Amino acid sequence: MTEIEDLLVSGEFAAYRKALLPAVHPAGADAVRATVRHRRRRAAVVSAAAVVLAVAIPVAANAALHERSGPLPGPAGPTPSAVTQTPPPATPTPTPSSTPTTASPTPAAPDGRISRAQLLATRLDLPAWSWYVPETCTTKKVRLDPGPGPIRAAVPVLLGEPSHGELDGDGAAKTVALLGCRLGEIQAKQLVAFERDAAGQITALGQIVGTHDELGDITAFSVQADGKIRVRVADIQPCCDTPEWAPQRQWRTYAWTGDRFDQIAGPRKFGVDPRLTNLTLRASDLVVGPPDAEGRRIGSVTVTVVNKGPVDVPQLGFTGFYSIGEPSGGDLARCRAVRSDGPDACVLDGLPAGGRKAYTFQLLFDPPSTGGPPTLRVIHYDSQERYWRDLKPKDNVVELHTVG
Amino acid sequence: MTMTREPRLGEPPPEATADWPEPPEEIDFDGLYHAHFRSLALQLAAYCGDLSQAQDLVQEAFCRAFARWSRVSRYDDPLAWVRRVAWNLATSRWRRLRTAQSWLHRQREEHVPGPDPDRVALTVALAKLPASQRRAVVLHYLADLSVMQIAEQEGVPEGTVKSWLHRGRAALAVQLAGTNEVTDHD
Repeated sequence: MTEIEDLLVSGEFAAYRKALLPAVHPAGADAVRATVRHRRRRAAVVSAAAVVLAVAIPVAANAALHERSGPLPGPAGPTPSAVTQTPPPATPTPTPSSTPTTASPTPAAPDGRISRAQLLATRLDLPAWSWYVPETCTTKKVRLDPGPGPIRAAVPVLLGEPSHGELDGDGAAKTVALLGCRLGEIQAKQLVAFERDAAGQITALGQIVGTHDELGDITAFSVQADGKIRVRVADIQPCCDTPEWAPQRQWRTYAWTGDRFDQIAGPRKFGVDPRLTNLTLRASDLVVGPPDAEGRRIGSVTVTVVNKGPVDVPQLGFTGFYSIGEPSGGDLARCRAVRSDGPDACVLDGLPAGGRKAYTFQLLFDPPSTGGPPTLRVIHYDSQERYWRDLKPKDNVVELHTVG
Repeated sequence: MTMTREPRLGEPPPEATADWPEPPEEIDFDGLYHAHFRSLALQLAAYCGDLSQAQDLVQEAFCRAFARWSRVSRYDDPLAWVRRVAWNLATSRWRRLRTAQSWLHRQREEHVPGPDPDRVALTVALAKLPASQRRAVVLHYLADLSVMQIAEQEGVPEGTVKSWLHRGRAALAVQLAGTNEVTDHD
């Protein structure tokens, strides 16, 4: 029954594909470029507006400092505050690095130890996300989504528990929280420091680090006793079929440098992944023999793999046989099927950096009627059968020329 | 205290970009687009029952891919990224539009038997499946994905996909066997 169903359904889909295909009209890759250019320009305009605002900020900041330098709020203090405010620490004599004009004794900065619940309960202004996020990843008066679990839309989410520590030398604790916002199949993320202003309102002190093209993920962080923040970052965020072992990960250390957060220790870049190597694949013609009594034809191809380094390859995997037909012998007889990023691959021997190896594959020649020429691909596997990207993937694939 | 100065903080320190070694070779965006746009559009059209909407969704997915192409092109399978983004867009749009769509399907059934009853019959039959079964069936029959690949895209165990496929196929077969014309109507 299932087979009949399968035939019926696949036939319907084939007819559907055939009927509808002529009606598909791609807008074109150039239209993609135009759209993205337009969105980037729009993002740039927003950034420019932000810079103009930044010029105006020192004035406001100065005013705020004066406000802070005013009389300490007593029990019935002069600062109107609707928010319950934790009493300031008893012995603070901070020297704010940008302290300007006041000669009066510096009072304690408001305590900025903010709980997860308080962050979630407040509308917050956030630092800018990386330059391209959905418009729904807003930054003004944002109510953070508590996560986790499926988030209905691309909205800012508070990831995990915030941490606390004294970050900028003003004697008051601050709060560090990791925020995310869905970006396709991954999340844009930023690590943000929050504090309270003189009125007790939660405000962002600044972004410590955010994801961007060369820093794809932030997975952990800790606030040290000295106020520095250690952050676990990765070059890419695994998504879709990208295996979880693919990202390169590093600890980097950030600190408040007077007017913003900067990296002060740890590696500054990822660079080329030292676990990757450069394999190349060449192939002879695919020689197809004459049909046997049952009309079957055997195709035979010899491939040569070179490992240009720098890493030894514990196991070579080959895939793409389905574009030729069923494996039927030669070196394929002794291979093991393991999973890859696509169809299963057949793994054979290792190949040290600088090494070269040749294999002969025999297949029952039966290429699918659709799809281009038969192609084979070589894949780098480690001893745990994890597959790895290649430094130059283009020459891992060969299109076979069929003769006979 | 303020966040208005932040945009420049989002960028890497200058030295981080300057001395990047030659990146791994990237695959060609145009090539990916031309090779897969049509196929993705057909899949989403089967899923949401509207070709023009499906094309919009696929175009949007490619826009998102192009906007971060330096990263996406380094994924092991950029197509999987595009496909998943497109399907996610479809899923969320589908949720919003489902009411309107089912109304549309009823209209088609009643008033537009159309020049190509098979196609409409399949669309109508698909529209009656639960979304998860419909996704699995379309990914299997139109995207030619394996059970494992569907499980990865949907983030569910392979057994779940097998069950969706089994039930989806059976339900489709019943409906399609009974309707060579578009007469099947709740």
